[in-house]
Amino acid sequence: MISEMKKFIISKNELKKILAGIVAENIKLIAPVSRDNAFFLEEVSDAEKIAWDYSNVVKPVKEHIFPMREVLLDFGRGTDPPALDEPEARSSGKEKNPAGNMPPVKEQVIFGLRPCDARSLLVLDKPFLQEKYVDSYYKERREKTTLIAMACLNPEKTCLCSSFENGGPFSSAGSDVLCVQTGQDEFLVEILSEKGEKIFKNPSFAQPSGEVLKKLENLKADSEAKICKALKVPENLRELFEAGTWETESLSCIACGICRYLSATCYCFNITDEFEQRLRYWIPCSFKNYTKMTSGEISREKKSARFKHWYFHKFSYHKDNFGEYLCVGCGRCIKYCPVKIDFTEVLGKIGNSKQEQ
Amino acid sequence: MKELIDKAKELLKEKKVETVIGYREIRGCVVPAYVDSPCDADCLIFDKRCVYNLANYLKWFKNKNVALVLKGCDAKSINVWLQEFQIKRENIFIIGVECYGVMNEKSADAGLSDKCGHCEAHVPNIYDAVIKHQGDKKESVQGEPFKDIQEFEKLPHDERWDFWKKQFEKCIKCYACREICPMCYCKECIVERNIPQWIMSSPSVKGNFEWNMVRAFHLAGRCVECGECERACPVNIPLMKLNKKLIKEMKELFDYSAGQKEDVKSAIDDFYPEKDIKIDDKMIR
Ligand code: SF4
Ligand code: SF4
Ligand code: SF4
Repeated sequence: MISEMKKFIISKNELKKILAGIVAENIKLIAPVSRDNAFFLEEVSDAEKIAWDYSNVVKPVKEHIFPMREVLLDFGRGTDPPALDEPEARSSGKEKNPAGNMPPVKEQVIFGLRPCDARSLLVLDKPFLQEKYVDSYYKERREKTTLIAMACLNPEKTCLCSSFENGGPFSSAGSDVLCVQTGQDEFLVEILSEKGEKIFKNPSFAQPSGEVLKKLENLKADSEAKICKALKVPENLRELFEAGTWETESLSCIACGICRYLSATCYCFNITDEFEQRLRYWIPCSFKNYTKMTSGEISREKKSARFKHWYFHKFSYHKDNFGEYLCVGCGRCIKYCPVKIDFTEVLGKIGNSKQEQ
Repeated sequence: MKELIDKAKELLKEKKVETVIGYREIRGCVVPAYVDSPCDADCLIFDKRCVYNLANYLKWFKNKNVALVLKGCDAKSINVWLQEFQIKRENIFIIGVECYGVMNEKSADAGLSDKCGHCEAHVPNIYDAVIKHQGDKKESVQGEPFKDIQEFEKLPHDERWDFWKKQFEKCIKCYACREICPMCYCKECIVERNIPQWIMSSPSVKGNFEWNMVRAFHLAGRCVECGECERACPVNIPLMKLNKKLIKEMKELFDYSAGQKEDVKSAIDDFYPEKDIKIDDKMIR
């Protein structure tokens, strides 16, 4: 049960103190930090290092629940991957974890993620936590994670979160706590779950005045008005599989992995053995070897086929299987595409194309 | 612009090429354009937002007749392709554009890209037609082109190591730097081979080091300094620092710069240890 007092006002310093308290309790704190003109969600040990003036982080929050590289099994000797300056694990002879004993997953609090990212975990829960096939690695991290989201006052021109049900720059869906910066030194904090309540247990925070709540409404409206992109999936997408437009739209695509890796919701992975470990790591369907089979056959060899697959997975197959699009509108695929492909525009053109026989 | 459009129209009308690959503007940004018919050629543009090295698209147009709109730095990659017998000269028509700089997309003030500061190919060194620059011609900033590299070399080993460790730790192995590079055209990249596995495919700091080293080394004497890899990198790894280091080494050791001429042997093809290696203390560090 969440207590009565769900919304309160807090100063930046108080907020920082709470975050520092998380670190002091030996809980992993993950927050936005600035690195080489970009922002990343990384573990921080000092609340002073947290960045506050970011629009969104480069890598979506999924990397902290479904890591880019994850050890699934450790055979026999249980060595960590060889350190950088070690020539090879075998020769180092260092036993790091006893056989089969995986390092424990720590409790973690993720602060400052954006509402789209918080929502992306609700979307990912469906494939990873299906009734029949529960991914235990995902599940453990997910359960041990608390999300403190920060509403967006200045969405970017690539953002399109408001195209989704529950979405928007002030959406609280998926978060345990939602913060909104309502003034220079004033944050409105809303507790949304028991997990969130555990973090803000101090009862002495001030209740928001009517004035603050009014400000909140204005900020929200301002922010929503800044979102200029919208998602429109052609209703007959399935019938447009053979449309020649896919070919022409994919011409400028270079088939890198950016739009898949940085998508808040793409979740394909590869499993291979390296040294004495079985690893799971991200792999994008844009790579040729993604569909490479033992026989050497590659079923989506053509660039346009790989290009198209992304659209069909996100806006057709996933919808059939899980009832929603595999997209939350974070806009990263548009923002970071090296050749500036905009998927909303591609969908528009596909919708206008005639089905080819 | 008219000159460019007219040229494209002429080539398409006379069926000299099937496609013209150039630049066009949509929703306020410039993107690669594929023009197949003379009536579509009006969209073609050229200005300082035309950052892409369109020679890269030859990967997908290898045996077709195409025309490419290329800046001086981009055109150098055609020379490398020719030196490495990847394309037939008669298959491509190069519409060279005289260029005095493109913007640096990574900097907020939209200043010019670093590579433009010491460009020696404002007019491409290989072309079939050249489009003259309109407006004022800003000549390159003179000075030492490798200043930043020289400064970096002076740092102690540990500091350099830490610098790259922090950089490569960010790498997500999206291979955008590879896919956008006209010089990276291997059918199967060594990083993706896992039988046998030479390089870790997974994104660990060690694997990332291996990957970035392999990429840089495979471009020694081949990188034409178009800067596309660094521009494409979503996590802002300063890849040009690595490339420039190798460009500098190639220049100093072999007096070779990539992409200058189509009819000379490439550095790797013209390597005779007896004559070329000047062993000095510098090489044995
Ligand atoms: S998509 Fe929406 S929630 Fe995500 S960063 Fe943009 S405005 Fe914020
Ligand atoms: S390595 Fe980078 S700068 Fe060099 S040719 Fe390739 S993309 Fe251009
Ligand atoms: S573009 Fe950047 S992140 Fe992607 S593989 Fe290259 S160095 Fe790594």
